[in-house]
Amino acid sequence: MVDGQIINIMKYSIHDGPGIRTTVFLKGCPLNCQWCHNPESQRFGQELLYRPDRCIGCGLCLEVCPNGAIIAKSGNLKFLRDQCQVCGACCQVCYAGVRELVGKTMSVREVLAEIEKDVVFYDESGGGVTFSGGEAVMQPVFLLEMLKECRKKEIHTAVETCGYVNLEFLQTISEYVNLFLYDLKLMDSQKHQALTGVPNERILENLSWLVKNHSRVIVRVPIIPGINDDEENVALIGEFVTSLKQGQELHLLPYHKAGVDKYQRLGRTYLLPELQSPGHERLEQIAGKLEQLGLKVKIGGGSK
Amino acid sequence: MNERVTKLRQRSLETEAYISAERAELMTEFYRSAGNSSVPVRRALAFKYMLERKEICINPGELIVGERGEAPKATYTYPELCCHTLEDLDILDSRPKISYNVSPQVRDAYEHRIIPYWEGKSMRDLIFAEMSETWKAAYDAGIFTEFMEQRAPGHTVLDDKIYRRGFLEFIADINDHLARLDYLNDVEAYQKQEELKAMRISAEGIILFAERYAEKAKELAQMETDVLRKAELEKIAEICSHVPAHAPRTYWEALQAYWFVHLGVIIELNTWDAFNPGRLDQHLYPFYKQGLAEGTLTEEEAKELLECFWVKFNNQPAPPKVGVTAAESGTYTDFANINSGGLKADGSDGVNDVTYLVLDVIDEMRLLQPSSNIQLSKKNPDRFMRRAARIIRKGWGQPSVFNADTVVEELLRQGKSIEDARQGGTSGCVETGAFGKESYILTGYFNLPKIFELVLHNGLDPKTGLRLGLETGDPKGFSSFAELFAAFKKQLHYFIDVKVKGSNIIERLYAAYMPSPFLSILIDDCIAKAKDYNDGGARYNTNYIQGVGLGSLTDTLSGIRYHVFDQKDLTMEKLLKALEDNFLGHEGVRQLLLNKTPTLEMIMTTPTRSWWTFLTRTILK
Repeated sequence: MVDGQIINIMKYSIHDGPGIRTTVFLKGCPLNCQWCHNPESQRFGQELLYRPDRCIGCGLCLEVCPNGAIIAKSGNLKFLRDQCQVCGACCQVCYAGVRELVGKTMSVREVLAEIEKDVVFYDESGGGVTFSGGEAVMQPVFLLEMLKECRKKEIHTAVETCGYVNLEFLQTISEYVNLFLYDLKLMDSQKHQALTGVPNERILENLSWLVKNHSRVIVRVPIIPGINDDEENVALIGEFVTSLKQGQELHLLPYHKAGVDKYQRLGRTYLLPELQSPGHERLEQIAGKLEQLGLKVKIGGGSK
Repeated sequence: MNERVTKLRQRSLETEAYISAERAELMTEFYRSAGNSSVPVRRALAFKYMLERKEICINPGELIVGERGEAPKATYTYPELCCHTLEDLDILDSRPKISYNVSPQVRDAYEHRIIPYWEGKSMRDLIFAEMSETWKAAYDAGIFTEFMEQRAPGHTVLDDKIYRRGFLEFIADINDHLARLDYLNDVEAYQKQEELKAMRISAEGIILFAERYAEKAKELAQMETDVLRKAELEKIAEICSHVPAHAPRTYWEALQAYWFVHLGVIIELNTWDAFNPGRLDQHLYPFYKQGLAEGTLTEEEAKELLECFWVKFNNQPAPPKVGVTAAESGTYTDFANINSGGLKADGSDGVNDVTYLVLDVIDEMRLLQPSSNIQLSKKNPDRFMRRAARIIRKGWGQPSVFNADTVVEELLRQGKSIEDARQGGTSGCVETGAFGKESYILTGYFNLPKIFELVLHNGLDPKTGLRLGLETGDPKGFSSFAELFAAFKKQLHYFIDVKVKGSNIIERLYAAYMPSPFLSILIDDCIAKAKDYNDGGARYNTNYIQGVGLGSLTDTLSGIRYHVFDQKDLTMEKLLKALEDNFLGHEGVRQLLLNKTPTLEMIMTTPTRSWWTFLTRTILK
């Protein structure tokens, strides 16, 4: 069996599908959205999160680093990220939680054990498990195994995808997925390429296939002010989705700034520091517009 | 909330609590001149003595009458249980949180009459004189507390009996049992006779108390110039001359009858303040339905009366503690916790129209007392849950939610009949019980982390250096977590035994010296058994030791197991040194334990199971 590269397993998740859910975040994503609120999910392989404000100056990391990536300079510890090979030795000894490895290898059985702990909550609330990311479908063998195991246990499964994946993979897993949460961001492919790193044709094609061939798909549109909330994009999204299916369910996810700090911890720069969350009024307007086109619209990601 | 209720509520919120010496003075007066009689009869005579003489208080505009003290927020003391010192009074007067005003007159009464009489004679003195050195050392070290050193047992709740029968009927019952005593064959016949006589005197006391209220209302009515208020006072006079001597006939009478009973209970002794009407919605429903059908009651009137009733609870502050508890616990509030919903005795849905009325009242009144909870059963309609949730979401803390079906299950497991279990519920904080039929004796908190601290020091208390517990071995010599845990179990078992030995004596002291004949009338089967509530007269008698600190203990055990025994990245020596220095200079160890300890789920269930195994073995034998 193939192991998964996991960022985090989140309990009591109520924004990633119906009911009370456990969300499994898989590491690695083909997209590179500038507004991404989980930057630690984008790259494959482990990364080092660094929070110097927590440092108690014990110096243990200095002793164990084999690559000279930590140096003592006038009584302070300094981190040279360029030298870091992400071996994780420093994280092992950093009790204060300054240094933390993000991304761990977990077996199907290990992940399943975590998921199963909350079955009583899924049963009571109509919840289940959501595989998110990163891009869950980028680890197709692991994901397929997980989905099959969940089906055996009668646990409701949702897969959240950016859609930029091999259609065959989607087709293979779809039999074991109860619900797809399918992200749609921008209809202009050039703009899509500029802001997310990839064009959108494949995403649209895959969505077409899925809506026609799978019984339960929710399209999810993040609303990012100044980037995709313009009249034209909203109208194009509405028209496209309606053309696939009248009355298709669509959720609007308002942009939020919760992930901004993480860029710094990863030693990266957040490109959109000025961005603000959209107001409720604007969301209502967009929802109204999309509803007029015949879509079933909801603001927020949790639902029944 | 109408204008009347708004005013009553506002007055209740604005009036400051103060210490009243009324009860202490009457009690002292009585005991100074009390003749020779059996203990239960003397307690009953003391109760009656107070009710014959205490101040009668009818507040402007109120519809439900009766205060524990001479006015709202007058706070009684119970010197026969535990006598406040002058220093205690000063602390209560000046402490920053929830203070009680102490007037120079009250201080004077304490200094010259109350303290001189009760010093050395209270239950508290008696208890400490009887406890072993081991018990006292453990108590001083904070291994456990003892609730009954300052409060009487009597964490209990009322059922429906006072709505069906008046106190004259209870007296008839008592006389019946007196007449049937078998002095030839029953060696306890005399004791039973004295207990029954005591109950009869107490019943007469409460009837007399209500009659004094009827008189006062009549008096006020004669002087009243406002026509509407005059009529209300006449009505109050009529009600108070009917209940609780007779069974209530109307909704209003039902509430007033309960309130007199409530005052009787909390004047007789300071019984942990959990006393409350229990399933108020179910008790009131027949009266409500009848009133509406006959056109003698409207929904608005029913709500207004209920809100007036609510204010009465809030007018009674909790009797304050003494010593370190007075100084440090900032004595809280009462714990009257009214149950709504749940099941009926036959197992069907217990929600009715009064349930929704009660929920409306909770929502509008927003008072600290009475507290409220819903007993949520799968048989209840969703409407009930939704209505409660709409109140809860406002975020001021009421009502709390209990799983009624699990409560019933728990009561059944303790050996209650299914009917008694269904009519039970939760009270105080969370204690389950069979309403009107159970004595729940709370003996005190048991400090689980402290036990573990002793284990880490081989039975010595690191705070004082005194040997308190067993020598369970030097923890530095333990080679596995199992060894450490076995030592903990041994130490735990040892101190549970110390505690239980003490409790067994304390309970007998209450049975012998501090019976509560009035409360005994109210709780089945004290009359039938001719036995006092404090002497096992109730149908069900339950003792609690409340294990506390489970969270801290779990964190502690997880940390030690993971780091000292599994990962071996911390030695026991280093840990003990860090603890000795309270982590000063050991920031690394502190961060390690804080940030690098996984939650070991089994770690929490294991000590909990040990706790239960020991307790059930020792107590439920």
